[in-house]
Amino acid sequence: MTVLALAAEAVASGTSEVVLFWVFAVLALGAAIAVITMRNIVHGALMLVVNFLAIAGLYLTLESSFLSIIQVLVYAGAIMVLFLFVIMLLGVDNDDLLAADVRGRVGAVLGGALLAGALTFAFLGPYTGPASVCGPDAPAAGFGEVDCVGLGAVVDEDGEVIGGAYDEDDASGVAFLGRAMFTRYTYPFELAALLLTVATIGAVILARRRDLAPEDLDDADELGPDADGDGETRAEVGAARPVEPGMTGEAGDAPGDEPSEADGVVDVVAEPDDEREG
Amino acid sequence: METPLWVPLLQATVVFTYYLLLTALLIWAERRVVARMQSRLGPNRVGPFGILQTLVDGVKMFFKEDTTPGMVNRSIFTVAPLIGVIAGFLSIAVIPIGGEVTLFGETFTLVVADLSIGVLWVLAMGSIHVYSVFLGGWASNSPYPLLGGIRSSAQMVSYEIAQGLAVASVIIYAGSLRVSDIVAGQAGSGFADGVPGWYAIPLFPAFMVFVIGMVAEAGRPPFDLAEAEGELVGGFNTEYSGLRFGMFMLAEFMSVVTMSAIVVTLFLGGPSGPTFGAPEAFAGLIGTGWFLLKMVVFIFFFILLRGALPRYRYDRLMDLGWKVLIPVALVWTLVTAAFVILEQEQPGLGTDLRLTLASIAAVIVGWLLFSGREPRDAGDGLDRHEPAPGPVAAPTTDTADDGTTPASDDTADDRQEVAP
Amino acid sequence: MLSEFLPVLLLFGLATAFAVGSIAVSSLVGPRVPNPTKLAAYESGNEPLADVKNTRFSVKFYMVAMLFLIFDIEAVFVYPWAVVFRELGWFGLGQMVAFIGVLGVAFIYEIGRGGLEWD
Repeated sequence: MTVLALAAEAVASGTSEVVLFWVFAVLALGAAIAVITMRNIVHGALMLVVNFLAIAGLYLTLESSFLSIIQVLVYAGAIMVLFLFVIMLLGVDNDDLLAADVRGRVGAVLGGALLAGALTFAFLGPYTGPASVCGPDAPAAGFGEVDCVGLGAVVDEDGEVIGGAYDEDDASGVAFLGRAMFTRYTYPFELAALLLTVATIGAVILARRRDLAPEDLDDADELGPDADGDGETRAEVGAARPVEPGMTGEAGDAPGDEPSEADGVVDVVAEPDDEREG
Repeated sequence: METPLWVPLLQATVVFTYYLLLTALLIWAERRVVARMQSRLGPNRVGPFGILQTLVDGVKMFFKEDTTPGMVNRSIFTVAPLIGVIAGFLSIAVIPIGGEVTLFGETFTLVVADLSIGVLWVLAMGSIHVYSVFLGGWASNSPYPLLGGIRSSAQMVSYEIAQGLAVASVIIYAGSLRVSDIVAGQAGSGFADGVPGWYAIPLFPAFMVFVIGMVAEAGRPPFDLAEAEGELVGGFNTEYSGLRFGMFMLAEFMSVVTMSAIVVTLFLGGPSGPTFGAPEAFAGLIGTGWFLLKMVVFIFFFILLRGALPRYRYDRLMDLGWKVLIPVALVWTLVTAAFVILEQEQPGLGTDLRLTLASIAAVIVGWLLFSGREPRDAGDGLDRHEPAPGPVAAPTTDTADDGTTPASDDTADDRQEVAP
Repeated sequence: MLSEFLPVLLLFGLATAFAVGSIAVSSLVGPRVPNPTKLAAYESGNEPLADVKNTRFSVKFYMVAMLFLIFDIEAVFVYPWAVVFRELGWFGLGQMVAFIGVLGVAFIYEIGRGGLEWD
C-alpha cells in the first residue's frame, strides 16, 4: 500500500516520467537485442512485440497517448500478426531460413550501416532544428534552449512560447494530429493511400503467381533463392504429406478442369485440410 | 484535485469483481437456457436453480491435473492463456459500469479510468487478445491446435477491422474518443421525444456490423470456428488441461460479457437511463442497474444464438467479414460524416434526407432478404442452405443438389442403410 | 496525463494476480499422475503423422493478414479525422473519400483476383 502511495505521489509530481523513461528505454533496447539473438524465430517475434509495447510506453511518457495506442494497434496488433503469419507460411523451425550466405551477410552489414547513417543524419541534421517544426522564420535557439516546442507551439510577436500542442480538452493529441494531417499534410496523407494500394497489389501478385510452368511447380514451394539448401526439407514434407490428385494446385492445371478463377491459380502451399490428413 | 488512493483501488476492484461475477453467472445462464432450448433441465442441484454450479465447477478445476504434453513450448504454453485473461480484463477498463457515486465525501464514476484515448483502448486490447489464441495454438506444437490457432486468429483480425470501422461512426457522432463523451452524447432523447438518443438508432448499420463482429470476435457460435469439434477437436486449446484450459474458457466467456458491455456503452447509451427522481448520491447506482439490464439483453442474445444457429463454414465466415461487413462499415462511416456536415450547414435538411434514405435502405434490405438470391449475400448472418440434421435427410438433399433425378431404388437403399 | 493510467495499472495488477495466482494454486493442489501417454500430442491415440515443425500454412492466411494490416492503417487514419471532421467540413470529407477510394481500388483488385477465395 505504501508503495502504491509512493507511486501515486511520483506520478503526480512528474518525477515518475524519468523513471518510466528509463524502464521503457531499457525494456525496448533489451527486447530489440533479444529479437536478433533468439534462436527460435517465434520467440524473436514475441520479443519484437515487447519492443513495440515498450516504445508505446515511451510515447506515453511523452504525453502522446494517441500515438501510443496507435503503436499498440498497428505495430503490435497488425504488423506483428502479419509477421507471425509469414513465419507460419515459411515453416516455423526451418533452420534454412536462419542460415545466410556470405553475400547475404555483407549485404546486411552494408544495409545496417546505411540505415544507421541515415538515422544519425536525421537526428543531427537540419530536420530536427526549430525551423523544421516551426517554419523557416522560427527564432534561432542556442544550444540547450528550446524556443519552439513542437508543431503546436503558439508563439507571440516577441518569439515567446505562450502555448503548446497540449491542452486539457485534447489530452491525447488526436484532434491536434487530425487538424495537422488534414490541412498542412494533405498530400502526404493521400500519398499514404497510394503506398498502401501499391503494397496490397504487390502482395496479391506475389501470392498468386499464375504464370508458372508446370515443371516449376516444385520450386514454387521454396519461395527462396537457395533451392539446394531446402531440398531435404521438401523431401520430408513430401513424404509426410502425400499429394492426392485433385486436392492441390497441381491438379488444377490438369486438362479437363474447368478454367475457373480459383482453379487456374497455383497454391504455393497445400491447404490446411491436406496437412491434417497427412 | 487530489483523489485519495483508495478511490482508484476501489474502482479497479469493483469493476474486476463485477465482470468476474457476471462471467460466472453467464456460464450458468447459458447452460440453463440452452438446456431449456433442448428440452433438458440443465444444472439445478447446487444452490437455488443451480446458480452456484459455476463456482463448484471452478473449484473442481483447481483440483484437476494440469498436464503439459512433451512436445509443447513450455513458457509460451503457460503464458498464452494468461494473455487472454489479462487482456480481457484490461479491455473493459474504460467502460463505465455506472454513473457518479458519492462515498465518504468522494465523488467518482464507476469506471476504472476515463482515458483520453477511450474507445481505442478497447480495440488495442482486442488486438492483444489475438496473441493468446495464436500462441496457444503455436506453443502446443500439435496439428489440431496449430490449425485452430491460425484459423481463429485470422478470423479475429478480420472482424477486428469491421468493428474498428463501426466504432469510427460512433466517434464521428460523438466527436471525441473519450468514452464519457460518447455516453454523454447519448443521454437525453433522440430525434423525437421519448425515443432514447442511443447511437444504435441513427447508426443502425454500424450497430449491426458491430454486433455481428462481436460475436465473431468472441469466437461464439455460429462463428466458433476455432473449436469446430467435428474437425479440429478443440481448436487452439486442444492440448490444454486443468486450470490453464480453464483460463482459456474464462477468457472466452468473459469476452461475451465484455463485448456486451462495450456494445451497450457505444451504441445503447451505457449507464444512462431515467433515474426516477432519485437523490444525487444514488442516481449513479440506478445507472448501474440500467447498464446491467442492457448487458443482460445482449448476453441473452449471445446464448440464444448459440442454441439456435448451426456453425458457419470458414469461407463463408471470411466472405461475410470482408465482402459484406467491412464495405458496409466503410461506406456508412462516410455517409454518416456527410450527414453530420450537411446538418451542420443546413439544419433540418439532413434529418429529412436521412429519413428518406433510411426508408429506401429498408426497402433494399427487405428485397435482398426475401428475394431468391443466395442467402449469404443478404448479410444477415443466417445460412438457410444448411442441410437438415438427421441421417435420413442428408442423402436426399445431396442428390437433389446434384441436379440429377435420384433413382427411387437408390434412395430407398440409402434410407435403409442409414436408418437406425 | 500519466496519472490517468494509474487505475489501469491497478486493474492490470489485479488481473495478473488473479490469473497467475489461480494457476499457481492449481499446480500446488492439483494431483500429478505422470503417464507417458499424457506427453503425447492429441491425435486420437495415434502417433501424430503430420510434421508440425515444418508445416507451411496456406498463403491465404498471409493475404488476410496483409489486407488486415492495410485496413487497420486505414482505420487509424479515420480516427483523427472523425474527431475533427466537423471543423474541416466538406474539404476534409473529400480527402477521406479520396483516401478510402484509392484503398478501395486495392480492395476490389484483391477480391477480383480471388485473393480472398477459400477454395
